[in-house]
Amino acid sequence: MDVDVLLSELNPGGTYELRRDGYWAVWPDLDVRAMATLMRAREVRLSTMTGTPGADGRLRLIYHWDVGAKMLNMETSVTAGHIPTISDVLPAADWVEREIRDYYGIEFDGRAATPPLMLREGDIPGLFSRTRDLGTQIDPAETARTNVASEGGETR
Amino acid sequence: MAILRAAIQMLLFPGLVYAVSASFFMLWLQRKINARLQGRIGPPFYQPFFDFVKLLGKQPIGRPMLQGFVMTALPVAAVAAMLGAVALLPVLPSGAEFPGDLVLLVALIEVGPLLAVLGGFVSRSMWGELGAAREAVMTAVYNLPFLTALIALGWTSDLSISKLATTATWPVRFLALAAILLCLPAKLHLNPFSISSAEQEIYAGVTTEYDGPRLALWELAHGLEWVALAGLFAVLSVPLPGVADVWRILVFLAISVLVVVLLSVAAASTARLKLAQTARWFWLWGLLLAGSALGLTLAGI
Amino acid sequence: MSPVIPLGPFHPALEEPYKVEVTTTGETITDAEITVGFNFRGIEWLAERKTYTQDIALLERVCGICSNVHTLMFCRAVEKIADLEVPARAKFIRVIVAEAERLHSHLLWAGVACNLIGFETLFMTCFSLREQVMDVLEGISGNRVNYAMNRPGGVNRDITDPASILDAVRTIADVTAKQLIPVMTTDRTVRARCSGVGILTREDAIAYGAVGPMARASGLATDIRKSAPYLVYDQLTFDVPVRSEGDVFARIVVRALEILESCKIIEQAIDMMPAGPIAGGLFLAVPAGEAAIRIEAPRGEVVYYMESNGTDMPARVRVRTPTFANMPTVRVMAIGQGLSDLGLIQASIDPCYSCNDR
Repeated sequence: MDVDVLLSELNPGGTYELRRDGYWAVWPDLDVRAMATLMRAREVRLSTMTGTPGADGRLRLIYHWDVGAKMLNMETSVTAGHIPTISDVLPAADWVEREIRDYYGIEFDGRAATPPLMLREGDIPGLFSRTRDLGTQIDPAETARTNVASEGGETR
Repeated sequence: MAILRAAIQMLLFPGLVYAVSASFFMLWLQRKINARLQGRIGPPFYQPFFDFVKLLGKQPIGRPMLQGFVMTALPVAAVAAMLGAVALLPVLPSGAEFPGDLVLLVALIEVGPLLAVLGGFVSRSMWGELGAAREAVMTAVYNLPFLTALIALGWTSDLSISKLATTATWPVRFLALAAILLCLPAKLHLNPFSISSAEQEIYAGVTTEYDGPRLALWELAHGLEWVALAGLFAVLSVPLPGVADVWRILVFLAISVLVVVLLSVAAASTARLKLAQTARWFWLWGLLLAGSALGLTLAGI
Repeated sequence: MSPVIPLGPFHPALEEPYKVEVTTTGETITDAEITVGFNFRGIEWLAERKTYTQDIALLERVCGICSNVHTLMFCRAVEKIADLEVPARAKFIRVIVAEAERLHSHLLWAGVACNLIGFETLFMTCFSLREQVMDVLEGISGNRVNYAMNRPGGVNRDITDPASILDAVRTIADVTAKQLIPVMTTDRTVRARCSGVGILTREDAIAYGAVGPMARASGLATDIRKSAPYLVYDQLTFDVPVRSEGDVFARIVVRALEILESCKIIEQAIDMMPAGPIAGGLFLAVPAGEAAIRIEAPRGEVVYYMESNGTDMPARVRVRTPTFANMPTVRVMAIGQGLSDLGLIQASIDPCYSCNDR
């Protein structure tokens, strides 16, 4: 799979770099739905998605694609806790989106429902972001149902 | 003399003493063969008996009185029916035969699964009920060829089991016995027809909720079922008119054990089929064998 | 109205908790909803709160079967970020342990599958073979489950008795080729239960992101060991078995053939293993950086993303296990199948809910 062709189809002027662990395309304004549609058409498999807190307090969302010898990592950032879903285009994203909502409390717009995956029904989403600065003293099981907001962490 | 003979038959052979000891032996033999074929050592020969005694010594879980009573009465009745069936096996001529005793014998054998179905339902467990439902369907599946084969065998002898041994012709006998042998794994819950005792799907099936002495009785009833069915096959298979009693007994024992070995080997080398597959199988191959046996009898061959 | 049957979270045949709510018409499944998370331990959460050294022990406990994969992934992520060089001998040892673990996992799965279809004898055969693999792993690492073999920059223990490993591997290959595969592929009762059951089409396999033997049984020739070779897999010759049927039977065949391939790999790796050190020196600190890496675990592709901020604790460790990718396919496979096949369909993905929930 030629990453150059693939990415230029998505965004002709978009830049990417080849690092030790694969291709990285960091596009803050990435159109995730266009990306998902293109990848589905090109039979590129979604390995997984990773949510990780960025420097500016916004969540970085990385889509890991299996394009052959190297992994293609498409990074974007979540604005105001909302990002469009791609699970209707690629069912592979369904569970991952639910899990990321569990951990970071962001909403994937366009989903019929986002039930918790790892947490239980009724738990407050955003377990990781709420407890981010609380160290090991906090018991995540207890914080799941009570809203212990931590400073600096992303709250919903 | 006739009374003494009858008493011996009821209590000693093939009645109580033989039936109970043989049931533990056959349960052990099946487990042992299974283990050896699987590369394991297997249990010592007294293991089923020890299991039985240990279960008897356990205090059962408290249950509402009526349910507790029914859950005890059902396995007791099953044991009694199976003991009766074994005792009726005409290994030795008793002089007490009557036309239609085959019907009585088969009825007693069939009481076992029927009571098991009831037992599953009264235990009020989801798995017990599932097991009972499966057992009930299985009864319908395997009994069609089983009973057809028995009718084919007994047609010429007024359904008398002792006379049948001499009247049934060899072609009929061969086909009918083959059909009966096919049905035995299903009746004994063995692979590939162990649908009603599929532990991976429904735990222990009908006996899921049974514990202690109640479970012990079901185990005994199961062992007796082995003795009765293997014995039935043995008395039906070889006609021995005018042969000394010792030889009759030896042949009977040898064939019984052979049946156990055959069934165990077949069970160890197969996977479990699904209910629909089993039904198709029995109604095709089982009925084909039993039906042709019946056809041959009716044609007078 | 069609009834919804809740199955689980506890099951007769599978040890781990998960729930399936099945909508049925008669015996036929019309929809299935899977609920997981019963085993959620927050390992990703904990990993951000422990040092790199502690994390190795923590991540080893993601899975009880492919424990080695997770330490391997974690150490490789550290090596990627810190640019650590791994000695050649250590790479071969990692391959040997990883492949032995694949043998262990596949044999265990084959046993469980046999158990599910009630084939007790074959189950025993599989488990006696698995016992030998566990002996091999114990011989190498001193442990039967959590091997504690990997550390950033190398491995913790050397392989001192390659002959005994070769013996065991040859026995396994022999029994698999002469007994296991013939019985599994020709036994009529096995075929009756598995052929045409739980079909996952190629299109669904891509859309749902199926990985590992699941994808390979649906006609996708995907194997990270081939497509993106890591460690020394590019120096070893092996085949990637692929079947196009996409049913439970195809998955059995793919895994059975992979057992033979793994045996081949171990034999080659032991032959080619050079002498030399098995680990670099102690590393002092992990510089700030990030890495997304993947390897082919027994059940399929594992993805790790690690972010470090220069402290002694990672800033983020993301673990994507193969079951997480494969589990959602159960829904598409179950629809239209009989209720009694559901257990087998679930088992055919070789599920590990402990991995899935982390």
